[in-house]
Amino acid sequence: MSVAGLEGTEAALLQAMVRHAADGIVAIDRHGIVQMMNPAAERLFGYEASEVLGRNVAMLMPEPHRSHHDDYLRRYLETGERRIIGIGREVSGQRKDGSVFPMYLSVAEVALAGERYFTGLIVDLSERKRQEEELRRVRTHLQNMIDSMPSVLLAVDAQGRVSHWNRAAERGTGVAAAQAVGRPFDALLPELEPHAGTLRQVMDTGRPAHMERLPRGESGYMDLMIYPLEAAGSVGAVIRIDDVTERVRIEQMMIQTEKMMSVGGLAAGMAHEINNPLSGMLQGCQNMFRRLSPELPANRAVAKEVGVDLERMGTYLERRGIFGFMEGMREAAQRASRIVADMLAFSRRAASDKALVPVTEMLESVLRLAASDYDLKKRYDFRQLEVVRDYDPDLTAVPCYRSEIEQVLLNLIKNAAQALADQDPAEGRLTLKTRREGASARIEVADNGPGMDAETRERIFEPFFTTKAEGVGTGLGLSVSYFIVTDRHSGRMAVSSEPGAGASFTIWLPLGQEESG
Amino acid sequence: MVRVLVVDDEPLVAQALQAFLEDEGMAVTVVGDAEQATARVERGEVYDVCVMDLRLPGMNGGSAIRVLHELLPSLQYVIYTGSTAYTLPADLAALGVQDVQLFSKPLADMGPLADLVRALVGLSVR
Repeated sequence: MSVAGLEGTEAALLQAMVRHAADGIVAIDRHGIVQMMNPAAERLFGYEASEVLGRNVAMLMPEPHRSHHDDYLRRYLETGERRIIGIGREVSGQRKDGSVFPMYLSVAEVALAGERYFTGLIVDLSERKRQEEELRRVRTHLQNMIDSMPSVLLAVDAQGRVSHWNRAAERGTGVAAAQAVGRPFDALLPELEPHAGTLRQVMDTGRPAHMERLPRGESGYMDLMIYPLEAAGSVGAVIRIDDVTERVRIEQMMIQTEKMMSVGGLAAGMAHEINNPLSGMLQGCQNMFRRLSPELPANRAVAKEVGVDLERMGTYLERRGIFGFMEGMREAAQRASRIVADMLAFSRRAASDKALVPVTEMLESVLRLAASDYDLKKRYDFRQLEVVRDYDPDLTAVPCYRSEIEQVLLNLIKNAAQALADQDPAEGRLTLKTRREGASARIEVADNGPGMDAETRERIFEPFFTTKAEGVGTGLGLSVSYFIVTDRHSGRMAVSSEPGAGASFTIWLPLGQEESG
Repeated sequence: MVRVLVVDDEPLVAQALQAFLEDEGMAVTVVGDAEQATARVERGEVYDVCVMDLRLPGMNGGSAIRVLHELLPSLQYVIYTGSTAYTLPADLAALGVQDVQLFSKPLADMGPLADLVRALVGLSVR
């Protein structure tokens, strides 16, 4: 085929262009017969031009196009409907060895010497396809990594619109990635609204921000990290949110425990300070009684000197109730010293050995301790509380770590008192019951308060679960008590309650060899 | 007559003890710290029993006992303390102080303390 109508150098240039083109060029006539195939096309398809020239171009196509190419061509010639003529499209080509490869084909129509020809420009897409596949594979892998992270991870553009939304973010907000992309980040995560300024700053300065223990929602905490992202010249950021509510609660509890332990030390120092004035009071009372008595010779001697009738004075003091007041003072001072002793014994470190502890003594001492407890949030009047005791005479002592079981009993009794706090104090009743049940000691603390519903009852031993207002208690009392009874003492603990019918907590402690049977 | 030296920095407690023991027929001297106690004994004052508080402003009661024992070996001791977790140190036990000679504040009844004082004097006389 020659290129007529062109000057020599131009023709030569054109020929060289076609011969040396990096992409394949194939020309066919209106019957689909190959007229020309450049060396690039030869290489692409693995044919020598001589093997293809004069044959139908369909041989370069895989099925189903191979069988239909004649029809495509005919339809175009009849209708002029362009499917690929003047346009380009991704198609597949088939090499001599039968292998199929992706290619980009653009076709032009040429009229030459009264005949219609079509030239196709073929770009091999194999490499590009391979890279796309690699990219897709890496993308999927990265996506899996990002999705498998427990942190909420999102990326935003310079306007704060979400560009990436991981699975944890979907789960946390209930918004799927498809719906999240494009929306402003603080609309989807309102807890981030106060930090919009920080996000701006990170993107402006290029310095990451790291904030810990920020409040999140009603009573949670989060760690927030914002990293600047620069991609293709545009600025954005990655935001990472970690829920640290549980960790913060545990830290708070540890601080509280530390405080309590130091209070234990304070208690010991305080005990000495209190014991001195208490001793002064009690000793003073004893001396007063003694020196008012007519029996002491020293008293009689001084009375005679002064001219006082000791018997008469005694009658006067009796009738004016002076001895009554003195006795009351003495009793009050003794009660105070018992409270101090109970509290000290309670706050002292746990003994390392289990000991046989008298059950009723333990209950009574804990009851006294609870009665002297002053709750700052709510005052519950122990004096008006009716305490019903149902102690089994057959149950004397139980082997246990005394301070730990006292801690459990104190927790139960305080909870009971707090449950009764909202009712008429005169109606409140606390029942303490002990029973020897075979090889176990059974101790029950019950109240006639409002009781609990099934949902509360099921969760009552859960750590951090509390029905009390914020700041009142840690929500750990019952879970620690449960641990003490079941784990430390191999016992059992159970709750029984209905709404409106009070609550009853029961613990069973094994009696061990000596006490059972 | 039994001579008692009471060492306690709480005047109310010391004076109440003094009143009780005097009613029991004893001669009682009260001092507010260990330094005054040792000064008196150094001066030649003689006592049969010393009722010693442990937490004192200067030298504490335990050290005071060790010092006084050197000065007056015949002196007997009753330890009367508000500290609740006190156990007798080995060296005081070696000096002859026994657990029974430990009393805890607060004391509602000083009778047993007075009885012990008499018993200690009885012991040392024997």
